[in-house]
Amino acid sequence: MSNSKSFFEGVVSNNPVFVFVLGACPTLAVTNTAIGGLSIALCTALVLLLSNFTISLIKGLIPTKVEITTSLLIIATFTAVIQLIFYSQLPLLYDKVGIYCPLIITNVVLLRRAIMFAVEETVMASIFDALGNGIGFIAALTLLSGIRELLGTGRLFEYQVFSENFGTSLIAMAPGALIVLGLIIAFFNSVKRARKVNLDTQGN
Amino acid sequence: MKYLILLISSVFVNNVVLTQLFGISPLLVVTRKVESTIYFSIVVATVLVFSTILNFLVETYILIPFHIEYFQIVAFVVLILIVSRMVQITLSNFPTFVNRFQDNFFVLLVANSTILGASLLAIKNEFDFLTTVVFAFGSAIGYLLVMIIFSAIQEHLRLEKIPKSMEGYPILLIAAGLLAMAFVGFQ
Repeated sequence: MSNSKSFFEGVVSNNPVFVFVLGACPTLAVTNTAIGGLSIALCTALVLLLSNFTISLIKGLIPTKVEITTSLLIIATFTAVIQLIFYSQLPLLYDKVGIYCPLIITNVVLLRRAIMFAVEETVMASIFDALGNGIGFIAALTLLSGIRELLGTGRLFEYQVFSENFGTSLIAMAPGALIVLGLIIAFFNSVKRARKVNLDTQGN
Repeated sequence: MKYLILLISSVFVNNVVLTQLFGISPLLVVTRKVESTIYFSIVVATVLVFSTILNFLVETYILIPFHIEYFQIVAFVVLILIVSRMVQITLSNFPTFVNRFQDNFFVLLVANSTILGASLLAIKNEFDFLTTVVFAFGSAIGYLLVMIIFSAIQEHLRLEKIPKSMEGYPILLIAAGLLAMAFVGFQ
């Protein structure tokens, strides 16, 4: 697979959030503000890039029996590094993300890319794969958290868009995260289905 | 009395899954059948109780006295890995348990943010030892409760007629959202 192809697959057709919903799960709780969603997505993308790079570098040295354990420890180390950098450089943003930053380790996307891609492909290929998936992840989470902040509080990136009475606090709370994510995925599914029907009729 | 209130609040009011949004991915993936969900959640609940208590002890008696708090995440992950491996080895004596999950089992255990999240919450809230134990049990019971309710919902959903583009994850996420709404009502 060429590098650019694996890059675009991560951003569009195989977007880690909208295709395998699971990637978004550990981060859902901080997606009530656009800035929170963007910063956790940025952290996840950085950890993904660093861990994919490292795992593909040492792939020949890892026995298959402890593949999962080794990958997890590498991911954990980079998460700790990113958390410390985040904490010292951007303390205000760190307060928003809080205990959800360490939970990046449990993100299935990281482990999936590590076990299914990085241990088999070359270093360059896994960097491009990580970049594609990371950018896809950032785009998806920014969309989700933007919608939630707009409907929940009437603001977008802390800029007042609608009047202050506009917000529905339910959208900003835990149930809102699940419902909004479900509706977004349903929307993307229906777009995909409509395009498929179009292609089929054109073919005939 | 204080501990009873904490137990009830960690089961219902501050439920780890639905109000903290930890471990949503296993909630969507594993709960296809009530029976296997019960087996899976019992395993997760066991790991959760042991690792939360162990993580608390490591944090208070090793990491803080030696000023190496920055090892927190790595230490917790290693401990969770060890506890999960021990539970897995113990369970291998009961073939009915293990055959249900096979390879995915270990990944689903470690990549489960409920376990790590509960440990981090206990430390963030500055609980003492006994409170941590009560909190760990409460979270485990809350986890079991939500998983079993949700698997029952999913068994019902399979019989319903659902719009094509809502099939799969979207309808499950919305169902989970409605369930979460019920739990938010406790607050």
